[in-house]
Amino acid sequence: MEKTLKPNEPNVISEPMEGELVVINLESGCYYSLNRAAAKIWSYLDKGISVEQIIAAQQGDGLDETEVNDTIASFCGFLEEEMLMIASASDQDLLEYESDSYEKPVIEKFSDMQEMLLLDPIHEVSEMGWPNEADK
Amino acid sequence: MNDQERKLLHAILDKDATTTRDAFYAWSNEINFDDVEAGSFRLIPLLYKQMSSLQDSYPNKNKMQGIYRYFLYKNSILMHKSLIALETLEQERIEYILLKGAALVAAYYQEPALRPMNDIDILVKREDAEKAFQVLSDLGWQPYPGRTFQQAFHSTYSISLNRDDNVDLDLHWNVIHQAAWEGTEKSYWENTEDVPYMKRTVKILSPELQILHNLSHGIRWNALSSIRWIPDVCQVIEKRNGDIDWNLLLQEAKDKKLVFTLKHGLNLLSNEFGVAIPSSFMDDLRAIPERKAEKKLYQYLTNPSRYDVIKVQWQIYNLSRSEASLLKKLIGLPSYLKQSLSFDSYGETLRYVIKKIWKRVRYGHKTKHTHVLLKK
Repeated sequence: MEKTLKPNEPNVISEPMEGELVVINLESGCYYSLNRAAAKIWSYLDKGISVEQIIAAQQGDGLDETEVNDTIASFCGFLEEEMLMIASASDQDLLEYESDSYEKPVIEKFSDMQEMLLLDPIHEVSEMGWPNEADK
Repeated sequence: MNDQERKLLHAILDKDATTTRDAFYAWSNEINFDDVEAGSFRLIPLLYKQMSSLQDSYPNKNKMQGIYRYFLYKNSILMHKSLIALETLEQERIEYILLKGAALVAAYYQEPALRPMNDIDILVKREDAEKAFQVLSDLGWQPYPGRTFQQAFHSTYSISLNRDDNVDLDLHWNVIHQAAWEGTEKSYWENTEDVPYMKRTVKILSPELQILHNLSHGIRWNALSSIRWIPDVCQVIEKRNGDIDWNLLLQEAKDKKLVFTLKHGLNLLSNEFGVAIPSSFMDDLRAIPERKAEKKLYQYLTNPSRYDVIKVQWQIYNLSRSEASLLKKLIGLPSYLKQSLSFDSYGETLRYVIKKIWKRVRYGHKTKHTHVLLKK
């Protein structure tokens, strides 16, 4: 039985923004920034494509299969642990996977809600903008 | 609205790419982004959205994108954490209407980041206000220190409530500061629409009352510049242009004695920002004879150097009893002032009024009024 996941709505919202995906767990107040590769996996999961199919589609091109397997499985496990995605019954076939070069999915977590809300988005942030704090 | 704000608003509202860019660069070259006024700061998400639809790179883009993220986060958390209030009001069978930011996000902006807000505004019926307050109080929402529900209920039209987690609610029993006398709230309940909001259906004001409310509220001078009423009202008019009942808007403005305010607000939108408002409607609005009290109240509220609480209260009182004789108005004035200024006795009210008048005669208007900046 293949594993499928779906966004944990309505407790989780997501919004794509120029190369990243912002995900917010409204219950915990945690904020996540997903890089392009992570956002792509999120989007396939959202379409009902299984974790196994996504892993299978990423193999090839001389990549270390175990590493790819572990990285994607671990990323999907993290989405579940953080309650960003939950198990779903959907099982869609992966029809087409964009065949650009493999990039490691990265998810960055910001967990201190109070601190984030107090972080002045003009004067206290790095060049990357809120929620990235400037070096003190 | 100052010149910088005008440029910023053109950069946000103009439909033509060239004039948008011109306005953006003119604004950007003129300001120091670190010193942007708090009122303009609240418009940055809209500016970011507009500029990013035109080009990949522009000054302060990363910071603007960060501000968009900040308000996406802040508003989403606020809306989520305040859901319990709506759910409980529903369980207690207390009808409510969402006002201002939350309503505008639900029906017009769609994206939570685009309409920054500090609280969720909820309107309940006057007769339900005390029960609603109790319900919210039981959920942890309390008035700010020094304020009580009873005091607010008798002197104004809403009360700000705060919870330990800094989620703020504004509980309203009426809507517009300048027209909050008893009876004016009835039409809000007769002109609502249902919209989806956080996976549920809520009531918000019809587009006509949405225009009247946001315009009348925002046009008042505020230390935190409230120019956001301009994109707010533009959103409503542009998105609902086909189904706005302009006759209803006109009637509501007449009933609430807001003709002068509406005329000036819509003139600005039409003349400065090219918002499409039917010319026949504007003609009808201009044809209504100007009411002196409306004009004076508008001037007091939009010009901080002319603001005076006694004069404002007198004009509101005057408008609320426009059919009464001068003698009747004068007889009722002490009681009205005592209530609206939240004093316990007539003596205190009289002392306050005399002190205010004396200060005005002695010192005139010498207070410097400036818009607030963001902290550094």
